[in-house]
Amino acid sequence: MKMIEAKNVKKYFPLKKSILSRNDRYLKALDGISLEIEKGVIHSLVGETGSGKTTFGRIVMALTPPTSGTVKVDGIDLFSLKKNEMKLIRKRIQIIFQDPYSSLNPKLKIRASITEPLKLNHVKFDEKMVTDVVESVGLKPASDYLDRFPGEMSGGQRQRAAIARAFAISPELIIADEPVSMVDVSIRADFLNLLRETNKRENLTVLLITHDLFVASYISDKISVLYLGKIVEEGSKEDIIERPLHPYTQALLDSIPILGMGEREVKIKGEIPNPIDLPSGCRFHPRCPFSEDKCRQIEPEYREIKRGHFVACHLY
Amino acid sequence: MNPLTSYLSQLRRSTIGMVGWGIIASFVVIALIAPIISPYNPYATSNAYLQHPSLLHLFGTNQEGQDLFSQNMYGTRIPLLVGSTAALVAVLMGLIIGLFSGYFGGILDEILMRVTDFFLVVPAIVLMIVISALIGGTLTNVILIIGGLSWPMTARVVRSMVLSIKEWPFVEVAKSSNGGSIYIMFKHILPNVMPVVFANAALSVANAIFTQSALVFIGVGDVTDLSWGNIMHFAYINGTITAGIWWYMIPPGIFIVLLTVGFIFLSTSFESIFNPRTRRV
Repeated sequence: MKMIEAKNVKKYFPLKKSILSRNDRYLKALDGISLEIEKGVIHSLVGETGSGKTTFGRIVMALTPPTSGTVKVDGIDLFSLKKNEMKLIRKRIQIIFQDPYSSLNPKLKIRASITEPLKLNHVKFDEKMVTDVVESVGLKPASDYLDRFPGEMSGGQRQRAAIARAFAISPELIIADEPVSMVDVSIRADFLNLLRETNKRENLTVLLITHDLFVASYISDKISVLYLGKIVEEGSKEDIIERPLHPYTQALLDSIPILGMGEREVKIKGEIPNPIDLPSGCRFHPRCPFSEDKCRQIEPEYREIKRGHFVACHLY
Repeated sequence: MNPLTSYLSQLRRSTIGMVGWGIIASFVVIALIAPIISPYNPYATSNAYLQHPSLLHLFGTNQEGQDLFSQNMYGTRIPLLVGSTAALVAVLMGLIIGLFSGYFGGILDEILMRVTDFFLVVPAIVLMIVISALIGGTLTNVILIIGGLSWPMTARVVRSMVLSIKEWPFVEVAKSSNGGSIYIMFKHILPNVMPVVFANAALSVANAIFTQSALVFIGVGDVTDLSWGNIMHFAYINGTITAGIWWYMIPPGIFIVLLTVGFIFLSTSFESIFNPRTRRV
């Protein structure tokens, strides 16, 4: 069964028209993304800043509609729903944001933040449930934390509270948008293990959005690599980490700093181009060390090279 | 920490805040105990016209032989009453308009902000004179008129804050948990706007006190109600300034300025305490 089925999702943000040019210009945050996520799987969406990964997460949360394309959650098309149906589906999805300083309302006590999804969705709960979920994310004893304001907690503790809020309603799908990138390295593994355990125990589906291939490789079952609004490679964790095909994936892997490793093998030049004036042909060609004439002119097809391993590159 | 306890603990270190509260508290006490501390009935006339200040008449007497000290003590009540209630009206209106305008945006925002611009540009005092001439200057009307014309600043400030707060992730989390617009506005955005609203409310009180006094001074409203502006009104129409009767005009003037300054200090202390960037540690 598929938890998320996205077909050809595009999100264009219109830019202000200039007086001189007649053409409408768009920022193409997502330029045709198709992604299927099986139930009970941890699927990572990896990409640099500006690749569109957060926009995709917001669309799956139904916080913003796509320009075109469809998104189904558990077989239900998100953007043709009535209000009541939307409420039912939102009850099953939770989100964890990157920044624990802004994802908790500074004026609400932790207890109020954590019980909010329960109250808003009319789920009955008791004190024990709240205590259990808070302690399960490592805030022990719960009574020490429940009546604090976010300002009285450290960044790591706040992120634990944000995770507790997401877990409280026992969702079927969690969208975790860079959940550990603002957390100290020493407790990152802790957070990722938490996600992994809940995933195993409750058959939770996780869409993990991250820029860090190392984080993705730590807990993912499957990984999709996003570049400038398109998926360039997708496969099982082993395929992506051990047998990466796309030069961009290889470069991302090589950019993970590992002790004792010397010179990088695949170097990429420069920064991600802006998604307003996309490069011709393959959108990675200006930075690709292997680019040929063909890459400059023809956009590569997204093909299955090996069972379950897709790539969009002229080299294969 | 609870915002109130945090404010109180910070207040002790804020000289301006303490002075502001001190001034306001003194006037509130005077307003409450006016009958006790006034040696005369403020309305009672006598044959002692235009007496210099003396131990018998601390602030002297007016052209009717009324005791000006008693009048000034009783006169504290109306400015405080009008100031606080008109500010309440103004702040509530500004808050609601700013919240809706900022949160919903679009056409609603466009309409509300153009209306706000109109009231910001039109000289309020002139409009107030016209309206009170039309509907009559009873106390309630004056409160409603001052309140109903002083909300634009609050609305603008609240709107600009809502515009930024509504983009915060905790708002998106609430939305994705099926939080409705009204819920999000009042549960999530309002508490974060409140510190600024407090600062604005204190300024609105200062503004309302000043406006009320100004209106009464030029003869708009009920001139039989005792207030500082009213005393100054009679001082002016009786030509006491040119006649050198300084004790008539000066005390109410000083009181108006003092009370206004008290509320301005209060506003400054709200702002510096709730805004960590201006807070001195």
